[in-house]
Parts: sequence; structure tokens; C-alpha cells
Amino acid sequence: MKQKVQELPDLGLGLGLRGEHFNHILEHRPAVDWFEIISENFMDSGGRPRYVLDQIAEKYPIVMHGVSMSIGSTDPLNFEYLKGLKKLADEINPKWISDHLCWTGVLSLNSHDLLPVVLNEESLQLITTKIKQVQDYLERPLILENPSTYLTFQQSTIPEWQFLKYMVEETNCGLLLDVNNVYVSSFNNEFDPIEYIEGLPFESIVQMHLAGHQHNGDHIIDTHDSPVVDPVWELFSLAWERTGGTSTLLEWDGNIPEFDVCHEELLKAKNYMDGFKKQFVRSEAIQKDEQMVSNPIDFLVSNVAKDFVE
Amino acid sequence: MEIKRDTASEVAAKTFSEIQHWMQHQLMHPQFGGDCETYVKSTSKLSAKQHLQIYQRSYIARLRDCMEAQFPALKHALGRPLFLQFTDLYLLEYPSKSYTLGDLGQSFGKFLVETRPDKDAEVKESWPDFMIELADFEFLVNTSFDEKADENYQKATSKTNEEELELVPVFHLLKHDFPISSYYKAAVNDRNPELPFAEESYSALLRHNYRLGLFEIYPIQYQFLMKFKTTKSISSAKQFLIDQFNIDKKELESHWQQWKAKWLEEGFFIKK
Ligand SMILES: [Fe+2]
Repeated sequence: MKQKVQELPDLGLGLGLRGEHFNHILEHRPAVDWFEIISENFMDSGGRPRYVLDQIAEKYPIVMHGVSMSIGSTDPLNFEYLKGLKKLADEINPKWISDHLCWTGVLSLNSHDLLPVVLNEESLQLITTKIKQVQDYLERPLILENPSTYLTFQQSTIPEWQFLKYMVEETNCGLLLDVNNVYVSSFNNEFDPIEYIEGLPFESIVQMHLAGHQHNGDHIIDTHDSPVVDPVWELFSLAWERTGGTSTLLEWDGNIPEFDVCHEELLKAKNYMDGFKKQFVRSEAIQKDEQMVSNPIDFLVSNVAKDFVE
Repeated sequence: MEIKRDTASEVAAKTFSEIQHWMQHQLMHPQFGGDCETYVKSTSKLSAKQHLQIYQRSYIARLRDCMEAQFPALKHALGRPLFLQFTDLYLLEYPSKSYTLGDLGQSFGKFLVETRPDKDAEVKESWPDFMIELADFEFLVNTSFDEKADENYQKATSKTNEEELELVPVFHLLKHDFPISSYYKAAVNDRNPELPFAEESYSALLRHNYRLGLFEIYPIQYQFLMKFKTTKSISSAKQFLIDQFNIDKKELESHWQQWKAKWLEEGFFIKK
């Protein structure tokens, strides 16, 4: 593996590329530093999504963010998938390729969810082996994100931050620190988000994610459908200070507003780059809605019927 | 690296693989329940079962959302509650094996054939036929939107020589036993169509400038375009109609001029 994680560039403030914003971006060339794409939405695309991506990739740095590698599955790696991923990377030349510390299914099935892995020696062994295989195949470092989790396994013996640290030590992979996910997971699984962030290997954090979520009172769902809440901004300012600043990206996947609204929300990050001063307080509005889905599907499929000629 | 061992030994030993098989089974068959505490920790706010239920709810809700997005007209035809009942059964029978959700509805038409309520009856009802045709059509719409095709072509104009005409790369000629296209367009444009009676219908589904177009055509036009699609020759397609349907050459020519003008506008043709 030629490239080192520490050599990856700081891309500045970026946005998740969504179909709803295609026309705006093509027409207005907004001053966003970079875009992150959901790899699976473009791997097989021979239609408008891919056509638009090719144009955007000429003007902006692109990062490929995947949801189906299933690095944490006890199934073997899907090399057909990796082949498609590599082909897309060869064509659009992303700054890096990321996915999640999660599994999506076993027995060759795909739940299309980012499922939590049991965190212990056995899983660490298997996952680090698979990360090395992927990095060898892709010939570049793999960047892995901490997912939002909603349960902890009885058989877990290693805190997630420490698991990530061991992963990095063993494989030289990079980390995508989603500060909103830290917040969501820490609430749902009752751990201290500050201790979590403080424990990470900062020099291997290549990128950060910001997003909004839905607080249901006794649990939080990572819906990516609203502005970032204050406590998450505070965690961001901590992570920003510890990492010395790194590529940062806002994800917005449900009830997607106008491009400018997303962009404004992203630029708020600038207000949190001058050090972690405030005391971290968990307080935010609660909305009881049992219908909320994590990673809403706007994230994953294009809406064809919206754009039909009669 | 050094890893601290958990000293609490009351936890049931389960392998990584056992844990994942258990959890996947729980997601796909939430009705069976049980054994949650063996695998999942409870917290001060939620029991082990409640933690798991967050994933169980998300699993089915996400896939239902995706099916609703892929089959908007079929959802309208069946009504949402019945559509979701079919969807849930379909997902059990054909769980996703693809890395992309784009493939989720791939076997839905097939599933509806296999599970039609009058499968073994001698006299079949007609509404399942409609639902099956509609499901297959909607999946075709999804795949046509994003299928690979070279769209670096020159659009034909009224000045293009007839023998230089070619169909756009994404072009599907469709024949249905029900008025599928008109029903589909009415449903996705919120015109609230009623269930149609059986009636043969013909249409062209095409992509031009990366946008899909759906156009109803007459049976004779379907025959003409079918022939044109295989021979890539307008004169052969015309001759086919003359021979097969006993159409007067002059009459055909005047029809063809009208068809051509309309189809050029609708983006049927490119220049060879
Ligand atoms: Fe994220």
C-alpha cells in the first residue's frame, strides 16, 4: 500500500452529494470545498446519476463513501462488490474510499442496514484481516467510520474507541469520525462521548461527519434529516482541536432542504474551530416518532418517477 | 497489542458468527423473538429486547420505503396496506442479496406470479394479471433510468435522411394486456386512476438526455417499430407493413410522415 493515511489531504468543508441538488450544483457551481458520494449509487449507474457525477468530479474533489462493504461480517469479502468499487475509483479518482465498521448481513444476504459488530478479540482478529485484504485489493488505505449503534452485545469486551484504535494499529487504516454517531451511540449505549473521542488515535482521523438526528426520549435515531444539535457541535469542536482540524462533511439524507440550507448548516462548523471551551451538556428537543428510520433511503436510491417526460 | 479481558464470566460464550446469524434471524423474523438477554445488554432506559427492536423496525421500514419508491403505481393499485403485506412476504421469500437497493424489487413480479391467490384455479381472475404486468413494468422503469448506454449521439432532425435514422439506445417496446402506461402515468402524477379492465396496450419507454419518456402507440406503430428495431431500416419496416397488413403504400407514407414528426419531437430517433 503506497499511500499513507497521514498523507491524505485536508479537503476542507464538504457536503454529501444528493440527487436533489444535482441541478443546483451544475447550474451554480457553489463554493463547496468537496463532495462525498454514496459509492453504491454510482457503481452500476449508466444514467443521469453517473452523467452528473462525471461533471461534478471535474470541478470538485470527490470522496467515495460506501455502505455495503460489510467489513464486519463473518461472511467472506464480496470481491464482485470490491471489483465494482475499484472500477468506479479508477474512473472518478476519489481522494479516498470509506465505509463503516459494521456488517450488513450474513449468508450472502444484505439487510441494507449498518449493523453493530460485537467488539472483542475474535471480531478484532477477523476484521483486521479483512481490512488488510481490502487495502491490498484496492491498493489504498481504507477509511472506516464509527456507525450509529442502538445496542451493545453481551459478548463485547472492548470499548468501540479502543477497538478502532487497535484496528488502526494493526492495519494502518484511517478513521472517519462521525461526531453525531458518537453522540447517538453514547446516548443509546450509555458511554461517555468525551472519553470516546479523547481515546482515539487522532493522527489517523482522515475525515469527520456531521449530521442531525431524532431524539425519541429513551433513544436517538440517526436520521440525517435535520440540523446538527448543539452538543454534537461541541463534540465537533473537541475533535477539531484534538485532530488539529481535518476534512469535514455534513450529511443530510431525509427531508433534504434546498442546497443553500445544507451549505449554511455546514459552514456553521467554522464557529466551532476555535477550541473546545464550552462544557458538554446533553440537552435537546425530544420528538416521539416510532416511524423514524436510520439512514433513510433517499440516501440509497434515486427517485425515478419524479422526473418523467410524458 | 494488549487487550483487557472482561472478568464477568456469566455472559454466554457465543462466537462472532453465531451472534450475527442470531441477529440476522431476529431482523428477518421478529415474530419469533426470544433469547435477547443472551446476546444484548440492557441499559437504564431500554431492555435488551427494546434495543433490538430499534433494528427490527428499521430493517423492515427501510426496505418497505424502498419498495414503495420502486413501485408507486402498484402501491396505488393495491392500496398501501395490501401492498405492504405483499412486500413483507416478498422480502421473506426473496431477501436482498445485492449490494445495491436498486435491485430490491427485481423478483417482485415473479413473486406475484408464484403467490397469486387463484394459482391453482382453472378460471383465473384478471386483477392479478394486471398487478403482475404493472410490477414488471415498474421495475423496467427503474432499470431503464440508470442502465448503461452511450448517450453521446446526435439527435435526428426532420432533415435527417430516413435510412440514417436509428432508435435511441435506451428504447423498450412494450405490449401489455392492460393499459399499463396510462395507468402508471396517472398513478405517479396523483390522478388517482381506477383499476382498469383488460385491454391490449402498446407503448414505448425510452431515455433521451438521461430522462425517461413513456409514450403510448398504436398496434400498427408497435409492429412498425419492432421491425425497425430489428432491421434498423425504415424502408424495411414500411415494406413489412405493406406486406403483412395490406396497407396502401401512399396511405402508409402519409401516416409515416405524421409519426416521424411526432417521434422526432419525442426523442425516438438519433442519427446513425
Ligand atoms: Fe456518517
